[in-house]
Amino acid sequence: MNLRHESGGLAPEKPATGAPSQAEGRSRRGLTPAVRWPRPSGPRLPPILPRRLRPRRLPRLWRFFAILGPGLIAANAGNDAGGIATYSQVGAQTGYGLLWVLVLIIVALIVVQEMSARLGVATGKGLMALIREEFGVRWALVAAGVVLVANGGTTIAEFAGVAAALQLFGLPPELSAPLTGGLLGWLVLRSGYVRVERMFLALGAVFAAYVVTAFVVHPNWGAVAHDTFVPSISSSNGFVFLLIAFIGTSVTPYMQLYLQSAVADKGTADADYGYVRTEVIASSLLADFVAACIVITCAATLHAHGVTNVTSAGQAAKALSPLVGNGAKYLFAVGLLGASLLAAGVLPLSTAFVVTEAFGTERGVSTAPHEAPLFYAVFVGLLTAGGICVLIPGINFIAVLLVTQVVDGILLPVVLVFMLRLSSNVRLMGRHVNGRLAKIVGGTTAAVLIFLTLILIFDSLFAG
Amino acid sequence: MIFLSELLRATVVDVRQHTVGTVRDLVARMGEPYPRVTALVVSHRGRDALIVPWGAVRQYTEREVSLREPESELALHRPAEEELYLSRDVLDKQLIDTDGRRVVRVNDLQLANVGGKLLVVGVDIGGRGLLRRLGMEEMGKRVARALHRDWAQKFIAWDTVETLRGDGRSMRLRMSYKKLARLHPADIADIVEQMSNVDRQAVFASLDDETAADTLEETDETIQAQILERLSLERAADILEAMAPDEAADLLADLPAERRAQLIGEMQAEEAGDVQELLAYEEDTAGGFMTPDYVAIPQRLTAAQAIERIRELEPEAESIYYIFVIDGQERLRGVLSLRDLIVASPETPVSQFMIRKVFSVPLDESPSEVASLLAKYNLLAVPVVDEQDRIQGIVTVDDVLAEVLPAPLRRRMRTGA
Repeated sequence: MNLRHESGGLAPEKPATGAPSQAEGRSRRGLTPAVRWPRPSGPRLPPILPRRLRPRRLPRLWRFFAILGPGLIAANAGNDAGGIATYSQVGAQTGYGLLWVLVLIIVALIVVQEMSARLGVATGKGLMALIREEFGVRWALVAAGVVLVANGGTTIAEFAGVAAALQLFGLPPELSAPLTGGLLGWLVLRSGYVRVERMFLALGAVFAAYVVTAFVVHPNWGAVAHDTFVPSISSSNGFVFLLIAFIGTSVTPYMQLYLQSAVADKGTADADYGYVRTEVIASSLLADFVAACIVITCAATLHAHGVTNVTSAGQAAKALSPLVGNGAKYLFAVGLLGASLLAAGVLPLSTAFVVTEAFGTERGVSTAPHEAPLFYAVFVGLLTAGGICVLIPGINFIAVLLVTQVVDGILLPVVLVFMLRLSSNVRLMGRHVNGRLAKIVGGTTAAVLIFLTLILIFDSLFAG
Repeated sequence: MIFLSELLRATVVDVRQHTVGTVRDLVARMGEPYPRVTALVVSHRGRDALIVPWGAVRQYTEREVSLREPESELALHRPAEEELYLSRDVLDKQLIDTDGRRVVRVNDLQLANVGGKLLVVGVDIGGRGLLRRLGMEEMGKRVARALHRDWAQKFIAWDTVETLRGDGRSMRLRMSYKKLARLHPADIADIVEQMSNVDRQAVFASLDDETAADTLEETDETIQAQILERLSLERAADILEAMAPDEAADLLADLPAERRAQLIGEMQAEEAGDVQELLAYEEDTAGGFMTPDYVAIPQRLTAAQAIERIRELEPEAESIYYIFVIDGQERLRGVLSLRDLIVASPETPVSQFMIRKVFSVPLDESPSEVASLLAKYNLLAVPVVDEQDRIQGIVTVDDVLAEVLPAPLRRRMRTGA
């Protein structure tokens, strides 16, 4: 009843017992240890202060985030700056016309992500490490090259996303690009990154606004349903380009690398694989649902009003105006900023990790740059590349975002073929070896992308 | 001296100079201190690979391996389960460098002919090994010369490495990881943290309970839980019993409730009781990170009796420096240092020379308060008491240090930099 009294009990006051006595502080300086262990081996001395420092426990809230499934994070990485731009462009350019592709993408994404998780569970290793171990140095070099280009491109895309978002707030890229690169480098190397990571994650969540908008704008659901299940293709200029970008941004190589490493690091027990698979499938469905909402929203707003080519972030943002009116610009900018910063921080670091993992050189942010030259070269190189590309005078950020997604799409088959070969190896996978479905869907996805790439090359060479 | 990568490209010819095929792999028998090559795997287009015993080799160079016999008369080798395929099982895989205390990747293997036997003597972990595999070592050398740089090989000797067999076979073969087990647990923990889960599991399966417990205490806590969850219930309980109760309690607190209950049920009653008491306290309080390993003696004892009692108790090393004195109701009455006890004349009752005013903290004290108390009075440990002033455990300085150090410093100390 007396609530005030009870809450008063929470005040930090020390109980009377055991309050430290003021007298008799006996110095024990003589016992302060400076124990050096005999190396390399020898009799074990009785330790005075035997235990190494334990890592500090994460506060509860962070621990909750830490158990957020890797599948969810990986799948949502598809909805980064490149994803938003591509889906907006798909909606604007083709209306509902490419929704049927999304159905196929969902199938491909689920199968490919499931394969990544399975590789992680069965082998406990990352994809690059497996490629090195199973295919040797040459193929590891090829894979590292592919990963560097794909992730480098994606990093550039994230920087373009940051610059585009900050431009909506009036900050010119000349300022925002070096600032972003410097800030992210500093945060990651000083290991303060994990604190802000959650903030970026939360900022990116404003893209849920698209889900609401997709219903607010009352799209023609009949047309949506028709185009989702009846394929249509167009011979118009840039159709193949858009198609590759669409697939490349939804099933990015980076997502596979991340998911496999994350599952391997978590050390999921064989018995728990069922949970991981459920999570991976649900997350893929969620990510593609959001993608579908973006496409539908942009189709019903931009495309319906004759905007068939998104050329600026401001234009893409207008798709949200039915929901928030003039605030659309800022809502869009905040979401784009969060999604881009999240990926821009993670990509260079994880790329540096997977590349050094394959070549067995020193790595990690607790090493000094001269001890781990390759690690730091990749990390700083990617950040610099991102910053510099954004600074090219007159560059169109939306174009950068689309082109980098196409690069991802073109390189994805290489990663897929490695994954298929590895996950079909009984010696490695045991009972987790590929079934027929995984082989067919994975193989088809790779084949389709290779086919589209050939058309694109042919197109640009001869049709120009 | 020849490298595995060089032999792997060699052509195999028999005594009549007929080409048999190309070397695909070498089979080696593990042995101390160096593995001995027992056979070579020779493949030829359109045929199954032949496994030719090394004894049939007359001579070998980087380009050619010639055999003593005609191909038709070769007696083939049948590798035993414990024999390794150097290219399939070792090359490009990870190894433990027990000297450097790290996990490295094998870029190449160095082989040497010793008394007619071909032995694996060294592991190339450097960039030169990588370029050699790519057939570009010469080019690299020229670049180094042009830059006036010395381009050193980076080798580690085979007798300091331990192979990892993260493919499940290691479990069946019960590898002993002898070299690894000789290291200090803190070093084993550093190495284990760099391994894949499968390898960790294999290593922990091979360590004895004491070493496994010490190693687990030193391991990063996310990895601790993973390791424990994958061990058999019985084995996990054995390791938990050997751990310091406060560490065991912390670890158990991170496990799912069901698994925790199973493990406590499986532990010996005494250790299980200690751990359960500790689990009852909030994590961020003195009660949460204290250890029940402390020495308390009744105040009626003499110095000689006290020493005798400590001898019987065989306390853990870290708790022996402070000896707490309690009365009939288990209330904290005083404290002695080991030194006080030894220099006192044997017949003096401890109550006469103990320090009566003891610093202590309540069960719900915060880590930073405990830390500042320890720092201010230069104490190694402080007792934790309940409302009736009864001693429940002690907090040692190392336990509290981890709670209050700033993050960058903590990281540096953990990586030993």
